[in-house]
Amino acid sequence: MLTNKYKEGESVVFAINLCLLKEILCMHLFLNLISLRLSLHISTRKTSLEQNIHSCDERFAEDDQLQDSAILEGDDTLDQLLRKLVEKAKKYPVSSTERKNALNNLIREISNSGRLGHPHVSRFPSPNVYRDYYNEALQRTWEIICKKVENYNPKFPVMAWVNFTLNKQVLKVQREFPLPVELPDNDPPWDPSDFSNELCELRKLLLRKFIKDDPKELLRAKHIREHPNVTFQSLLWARDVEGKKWVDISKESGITIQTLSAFYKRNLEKLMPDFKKYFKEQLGEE
Amino acid sequence: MTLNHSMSRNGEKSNYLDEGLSFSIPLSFSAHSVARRLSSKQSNSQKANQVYLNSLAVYAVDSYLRCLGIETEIKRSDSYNPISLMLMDVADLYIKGLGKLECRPVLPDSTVCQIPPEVWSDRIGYVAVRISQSLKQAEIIGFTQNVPITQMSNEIAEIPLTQLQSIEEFLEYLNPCGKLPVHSVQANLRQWLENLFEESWQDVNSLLSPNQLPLAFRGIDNFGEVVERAKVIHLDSQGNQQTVVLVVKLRSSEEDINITVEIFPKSTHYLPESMHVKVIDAEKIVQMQAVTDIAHQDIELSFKVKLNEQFSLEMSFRETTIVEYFSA
Repeated sequence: MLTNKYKEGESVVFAINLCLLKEILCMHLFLNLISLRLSLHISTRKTSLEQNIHSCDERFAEDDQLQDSAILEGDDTLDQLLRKLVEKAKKYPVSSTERKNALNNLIREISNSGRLGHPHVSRFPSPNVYRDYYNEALQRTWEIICKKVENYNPKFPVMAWVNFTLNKQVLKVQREFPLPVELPDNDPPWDPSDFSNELCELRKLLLRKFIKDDPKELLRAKHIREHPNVTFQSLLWARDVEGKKWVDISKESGITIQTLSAFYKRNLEKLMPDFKKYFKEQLGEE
Repeated sequence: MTLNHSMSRNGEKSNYLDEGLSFSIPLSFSAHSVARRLSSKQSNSQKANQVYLNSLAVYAVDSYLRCLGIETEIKRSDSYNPISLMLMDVADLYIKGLGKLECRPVLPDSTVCQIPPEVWSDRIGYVAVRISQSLKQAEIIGFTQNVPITQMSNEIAEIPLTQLQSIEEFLEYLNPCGKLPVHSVQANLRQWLENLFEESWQDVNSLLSPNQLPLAFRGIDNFGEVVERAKVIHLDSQGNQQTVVLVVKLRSSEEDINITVEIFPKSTHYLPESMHVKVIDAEKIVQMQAVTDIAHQDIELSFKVKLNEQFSLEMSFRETTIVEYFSA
């Protein structure tokens, strides 16, 4: 079976552009591995059945055939659906809603299919470490499948193309991250391990000093119309030093939260270059 | 067993499609590296947590939209700026050509999407992003265009997840060439009177030549202070460029705002022929309209609106329609 497939594959290879040669060879090897795994799976099951229930040999052989065809049928149904979604995405222009919906549904069906492979598990020290590398590779796979949907070769099942891409991405992510990034394993709230209390206190002090001193008199110069007392400086102080709530500031000033917050935001945007400059001078960071 | 699993999945498919859910976005090294970097630059641990979750939500939406071919510019977003994050609760993502989309994280047991006052203005919409307990998966669960006014007296606006619009509607909304007209940020006219303007609305003098400016546009007229702002509107149609300037002029009285809308040609002498302009109220009823004839130099429409009233201006030329939204 393997040799036959390989010969077919070779004729395909010659017909196609040379630069695709390597990818296609890999793809064929990969597909052959899948079919090898499938036949191994079936024969293992047959052996165990034969060992356990000799008397029902014939009936179970029949069941086996049914189940095997069901596997193929299940694959076919899934493949037909996925092919339909790929065709739909390809048919419409990149900017169309139809294409976006087709791609959304394509990725959702693939991730719900239960047919995604878990390649290269043995290359990782533990299942937990593997899971994070796998997730990173999976996120990249979604982007590649969506962006290169035009490159899908209908000669192969959609899942073969997806698993082939995922397979390559796992290796790529492993090369890119020789050491895993430590991810939180707790529920939020969560304190990042590199969260420095000293730096955090320093930032708080610097911010407080900037608001209070207002060296260029930028913050106190801005006030809400007809409310000379409600300046950007007083709002910054109330919000970010005293930790006051919007509702309380609104009650005290008689100004709606909507107006207060829009004024606050607009002025923060306007004065952002000054804030950035100050923090850069003080901390040497952006 | 895999076989049964795949069969039952096939049976459930129609339900999935009807619900219109997004696919699940894995959050791993890249997502958490960004979240960690931004949250480590905060001034307390509560803020750091908020920034961590906000960053994951923004990352998930960014990845999702990139998959679907929607161009984003994360570096133009406030949520990428540690100082903005320190002073506001923001989770915006800049969508090329449209504006800022707010991506709000929703925790597994929450039934509402929370939208803080800092982001009630200057947003093209809000998407709710469910973050899993492990912080390793995200899913877009719905979206809304506006924060309801009834929520705006609260410390934080809360929208029940059941009231959100579907992913399909969200994708339709983001599509600049879709069936729906292009949406833009709703202009808040009350804030215009406080001299607070949305980025897209500019000084009239910067867009119109002096001889196009009528006398009234000198800041003060006989009835008091006038606020005016202008915007360039592209009504391009099949390679035929038609650019006009929309000017909105306000004067407030006790309860109402008097509004004058004017449309001028940008670089030609006349407005395009058969250009339609409509003033539409919150119930989608056309209250006023005008159509240009040959050699029209400008269009002018005047009307009054009440506090909190919403309306829109629809400008169309051939098959192109642009809508501007306002609230008073």
